[in-house]
Amino acid sequence: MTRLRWWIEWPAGIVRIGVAFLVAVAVVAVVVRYPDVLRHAGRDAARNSDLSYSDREIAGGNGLVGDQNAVYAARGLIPENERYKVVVDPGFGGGSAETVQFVDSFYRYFLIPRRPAESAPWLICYACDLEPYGQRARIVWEGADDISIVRLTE
Amino acid sequence: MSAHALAGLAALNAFYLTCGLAVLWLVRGWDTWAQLARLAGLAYVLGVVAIGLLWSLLLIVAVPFSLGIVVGLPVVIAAGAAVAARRRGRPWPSRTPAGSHRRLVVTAFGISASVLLLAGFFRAARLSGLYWWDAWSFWVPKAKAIYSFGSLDVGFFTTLPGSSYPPLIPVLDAAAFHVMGSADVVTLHVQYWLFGVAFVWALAGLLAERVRDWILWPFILLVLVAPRIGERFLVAEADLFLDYLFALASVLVLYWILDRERWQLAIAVALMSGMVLTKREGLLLAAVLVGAALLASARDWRAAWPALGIAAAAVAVVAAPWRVWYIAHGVAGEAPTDGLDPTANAERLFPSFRLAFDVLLSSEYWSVLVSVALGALLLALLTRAYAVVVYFGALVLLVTLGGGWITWAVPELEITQELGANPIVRYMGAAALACAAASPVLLSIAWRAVTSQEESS
Repeated sequence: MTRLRWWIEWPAGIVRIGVAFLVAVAVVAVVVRYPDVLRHAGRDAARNSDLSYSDREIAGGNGLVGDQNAVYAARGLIPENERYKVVVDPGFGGGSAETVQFVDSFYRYFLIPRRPAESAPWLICYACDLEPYGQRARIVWEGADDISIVRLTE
Repeated sequence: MSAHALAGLAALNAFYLTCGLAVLWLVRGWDTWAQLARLAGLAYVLGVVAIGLLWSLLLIVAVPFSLGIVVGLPVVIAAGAAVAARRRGRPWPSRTPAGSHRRLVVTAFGISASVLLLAGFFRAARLSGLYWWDAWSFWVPKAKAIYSFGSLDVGFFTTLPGSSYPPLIPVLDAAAFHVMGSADVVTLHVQYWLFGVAFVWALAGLLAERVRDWILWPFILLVLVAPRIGERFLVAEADLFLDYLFALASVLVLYWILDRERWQLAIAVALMSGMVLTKREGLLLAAVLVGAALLASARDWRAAWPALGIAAAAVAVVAAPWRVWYIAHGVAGEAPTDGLDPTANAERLFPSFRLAFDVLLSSEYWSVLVSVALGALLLALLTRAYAVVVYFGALVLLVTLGGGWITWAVPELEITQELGANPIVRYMGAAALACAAASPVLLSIAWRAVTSQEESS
């Protein structure tokens, strides 16, 4: 009886019940979520482990670049101290809906320390029109979806 | 990911820890080895912030960011702090007998359950790609630029999205790249996982000084399983890092209000300085923290407010150089253009604040962290712990009002919880972590009040 009164006396007992209740709520929330969170982390680990090297390295760019080989070709061909420009034809049909708008952002991230510039000797060309460059444009790599790496000569 | 990269990262993080332990030894002292172990998480965070701040400030004044600076500065800070601590007469920590059997069992269970989850998060982090939009579109490009060029390259820093965002996180990433030997963006996730581990350790260690174990550990575990927190430990962005600093600083400021020990405020100032160099919102959150502290210490304003004023001034001094740098380079400012005009965007006012409160109260993001904190506030109020209730109540309320203000004052932001269209969910992580810190403190105070009453009668 004394024990029961300890829990229900006003206001101390109510506070005790309140504290015990809120801690219990936290415990229940942990017990309910813990296995799912652990399972989810394991699933993520397995998925990451299963990725190819290029899928893992390009990661957020996989939905943008259209052809993974293009980013590796750009990195391999454009010297670190040179500048480049990403030119995307608005009607480019490869990649995803975001490619036209955002693929240059991805190259900017991926190709550092190479710097993007408006006037650059290298073009990363997504179905772009090379006619204005005339004889100056030399395609040094060509991949799927009409993506190419172009060197502009003086 | 290579063994070399992991070894380099381990060495860098050992520097952070050693440096933080030395600085904490200087400003606080270590009584026992057990206390050192308990506060080692806080020491690590302090080390990250202290070194990161100095790296950032040096970079802003155009000192080249090289491997020499990355390795040399922590060594100098750690050695300097250790020598100063010895000269101040700080003793070595002593051995203490173990605590009670029941306490040890609860703590061991809490630590084991936390370690199991953190190990799961590590497995997910160690081979993760960089998927998050903000991470690859500007946070990591800034870091790669610092690593590659050794400076705040104007061409990159003024043209990337988020160009006015402060440089602390990119600087920490660039330091990681230096010790890893390359811009290894996969292994970088392990660094963020370590920040998360240190936060959990720091929070548990700080709270353990005042909170009973059976109240403490459910909330530490709740932080780890909350949908928008634990599983995002690996995300290479600044949001959670800012929230960690905010939550830890909020506990230290509360302890200072209650104890008035200088080291508590000194470390809180260091963490707030880290906040203002982490994200733009860091300024707002630091102001919120100081505002809540002013309110909670109003009864003793003559003693408390001058110290808080000095603390706020110190944070402002740290915040200034970066703002000078980006203004000098023509980058648009941080404050919303209509933010101080109460008549602007009036139709957005109510929906914006409702959105912030909706996010605060969402169990989809924070599990029961916020709802339990509200209950804990009520219980602490019943036991007349007014200063603590005012402090945490004001803290959560002001953070939420700040979130509403951001949405209201920036007309480009849609009034939505959609992550790509409004940062409100990410921003409100600060309130959720403040609730995680507040609940155990409030419940422990309430429990002590009603059990000590009984013991004394």
